[in-house]
Amino acid sequence: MKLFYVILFIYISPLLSQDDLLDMLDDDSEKSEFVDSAFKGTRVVNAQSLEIPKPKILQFMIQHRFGSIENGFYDLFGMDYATIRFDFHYGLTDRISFGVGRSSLDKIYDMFLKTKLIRQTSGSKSFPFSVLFYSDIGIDTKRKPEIYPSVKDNFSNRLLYVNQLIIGRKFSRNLSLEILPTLVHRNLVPTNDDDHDQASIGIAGRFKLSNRISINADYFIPIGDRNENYKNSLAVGVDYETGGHVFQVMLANAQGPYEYTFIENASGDFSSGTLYLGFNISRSFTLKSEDEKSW
Amino acid sequence: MPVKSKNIIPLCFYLFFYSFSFGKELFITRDGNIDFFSSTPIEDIKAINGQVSCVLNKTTGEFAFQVPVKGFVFKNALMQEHFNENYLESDLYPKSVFKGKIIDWKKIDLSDKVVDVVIDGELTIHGVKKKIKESGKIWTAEGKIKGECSFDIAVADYDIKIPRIVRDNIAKIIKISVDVSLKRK
Repeated sequence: MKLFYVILFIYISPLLSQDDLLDMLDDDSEKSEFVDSAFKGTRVVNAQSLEIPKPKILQFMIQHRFGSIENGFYDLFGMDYATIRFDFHYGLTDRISFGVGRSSLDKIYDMFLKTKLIRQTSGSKSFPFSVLFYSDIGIDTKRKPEIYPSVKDNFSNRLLYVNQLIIGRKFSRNLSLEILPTLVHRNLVPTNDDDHDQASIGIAGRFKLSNRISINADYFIPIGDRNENYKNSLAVGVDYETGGHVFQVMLANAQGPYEYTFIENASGDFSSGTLYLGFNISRSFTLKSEDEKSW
Repeated sequence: MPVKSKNIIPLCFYLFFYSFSFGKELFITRDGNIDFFSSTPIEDIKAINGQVSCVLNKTTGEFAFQVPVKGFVFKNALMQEHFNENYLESDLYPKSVFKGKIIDWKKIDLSDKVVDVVIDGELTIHGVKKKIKESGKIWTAEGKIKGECSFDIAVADYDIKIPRIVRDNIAKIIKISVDVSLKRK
C-alpha cells in the first residue's frame, strides 16, 4: 500500500508543479485555416496565380508589353511599340471572382471567371494543395474581312475560349508552385490543318526574396502537334509590392499578356534575343462603404 | 501490490482531475477580445480579434494571454494581408503572448465594483519580448471575472518594419485594447 502512494505521488507531482499558465492556453487541437498569400498578385508573370481579388475588392490591372528588345536603343528596347491589356477583376466572395479585359494586341475583349474550387488548408483538417478554375471568353474585334476576305464575318468566328485548372501549393513562406492544365479553343482557325482545340500544361512558381520582392516564372508545354513557328511560352519576372499595389516587371518570349496570345502565339526566342519587356501594375479599390459593420 | 487494480483506476482519475485545481483557482477564456487602433491624419486603421485566450490564477494573481495573429480582422482585406505577410509575419510568429501578474494581488478585494490594478509582465509580439507595466481594471459579474486593459505600444519596439511609402498611413504608436470575461475552469 505504501508503494502505491509513492507511485501515485510521483505520478501526480509533475501535474502539481506544472504552473506555466501559457502552456495551458495552447490548444491541443490545432485549428485549421486556409493557407493564403501563395502569390502576391493574381498573375504569376503571364499565367494566372492561385490568388483572386479579396471579397469586395475591385482590382484594376494594367499589363504593358513592349516590342522586342532586339533593336536596343533604336526603339528603346521595344518601348516604342508598347501594347497594353487592362482588366477590371472583382472579388465577389472569397472563392469567386470575375472580370473583363481588353488587349490592344489583336484587339481582343475578354471576360473571365476565376474561382477557388479547393483551398490549401493547414491544421487539423489539412489539405495539401489548392485547385482553381479559370474560364475566359475572348472576342477578337479586328476587321477580319480585310485579312481573310473569304471568311464570313460571323460573330461566332471571332470567339476564343480558354479553360484552365490551376493546381498549386504554397510549399513554404517563400516558395509556391503550380501547374496549369490548359485548353484553348478557337472557333475560327487559319487553315483546315489547324486544330480548334489546343491543350497545354503550364508550370509556374514564385520564390520570395524578401517580404516585398519575389522572383517569378511561368512556362507552357504544348500537348499534341503545333506548327513549326510555335514557341513554348516562357516568362520570368520580379514582383515588387508597395502599399496598395503590386508591380511586376518581366521578360517574356510572347508579346501578348492575354492567355491565348502568350500560350499559343509566343513568337520570340531567348537564343535570338527577340524578347519582350513588360510590366504589370495592379491597384486595388475597396468597394465597401466605410460605415459597414459587417466586419 | 495489495491494492486491486479495480480500485486504483477510479482513484487515479479522481486525483488526475483534482490535481489540476490543486492549490490554485483558475479562470479561463478562449474568446476574449482585442483590438488595435492606428490613427494618422491620412487614415485610421482598426482591427479586431475575438480569439484571445486568457487564464488567471486567482490564488496568486498571475495570468497569461495568447493571441493568434491571423485572427485579426480588418475592414480592408488587403490591409489584413499586408499585416500578416509584411508587418507581423504571422507565418513565422503565429502568436502574440503576454505573461505576467497583477501587482499587490493580495490587497485587491475582488467584487462587482471595478478596481484599478497595475499589470506587470512580458509582452511578446513579432518574436520580440518586452517588459511592460500598464494599468487595467478588474471586477466580477455573474460568477465571472472580467478584465479590461488599454495601452500603447511603439511599432518600432517590436522590430516591425514599415516601408517609407506607407509610413504616413500607419501610426508609430498603436493603441491596443483588451477585454476578457473569465470563467472558472
